[in-house]
Amino acid sequence: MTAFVDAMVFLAVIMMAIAVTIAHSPVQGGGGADPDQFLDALGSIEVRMSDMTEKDDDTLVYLVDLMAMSLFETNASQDYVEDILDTLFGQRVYSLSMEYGSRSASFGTSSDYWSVEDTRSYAISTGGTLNVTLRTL
Amino acid sequence: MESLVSMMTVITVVGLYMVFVATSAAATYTPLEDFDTESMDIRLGDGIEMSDSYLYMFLATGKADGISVTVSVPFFSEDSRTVTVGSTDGPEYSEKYLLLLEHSNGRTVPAIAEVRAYI
Repeated sequence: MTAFVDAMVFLAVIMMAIAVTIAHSPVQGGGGADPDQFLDALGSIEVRMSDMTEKDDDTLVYLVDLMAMSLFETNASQDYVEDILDTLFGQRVYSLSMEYGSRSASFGTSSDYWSVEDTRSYAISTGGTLNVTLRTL
Repeated sequence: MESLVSMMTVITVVGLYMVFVATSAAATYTPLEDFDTESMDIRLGDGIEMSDSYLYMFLATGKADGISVTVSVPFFSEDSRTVTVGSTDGPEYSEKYLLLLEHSNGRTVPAIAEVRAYI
């Protein structure tokens, strides 16, 4: 009977050790890109207006301004962001949604099972705020 | 009999725990933990330019036998650029890094560096 009780106590200790090992395991992937890093970079991307629209205008603009504009008037900014995300996270293994005033749009995969989600708000040069949420597996 | 069963149970559980610890360590290991993309001096000129000096220095640390870096700049460069140093045999670990680069006429555009380390 004593040996059995000892074994049970030992098993309990091992279970606690497993729980501690899981809790302190480092995150796999080290310094690779994640939604947080992408959303940080998104606010700093600057392109020429003529890169993303058919306007003959070489004004330097933030990409987030063009993303907000794309909710009212089609431009290439959404395709550009999709290109970046496809390369970074794999084709369609992400979901990006954006909201500006009463307008919104999303692209990528629709799923309820994302493991990482991050949101940023960007001040738009013409006023208002663009909210962008990125989810990945 | 009771102590024999208890001992067998304990030995089995300890064995399983050690296997668990070993597989956890293998799953979380990456030779690219200290890899620094800033040190690669990636630039956009006529095409994508980068230095391979840092890759030789990285290999000298003994963390990998070979390393390959492919940089692509979506939309602004049709061709990607790959630099490989060392042996590309053996198990491979890869990571993707997002970099912001200065491009022509004041543009700041993202580049994606896919780094593969071979150990």
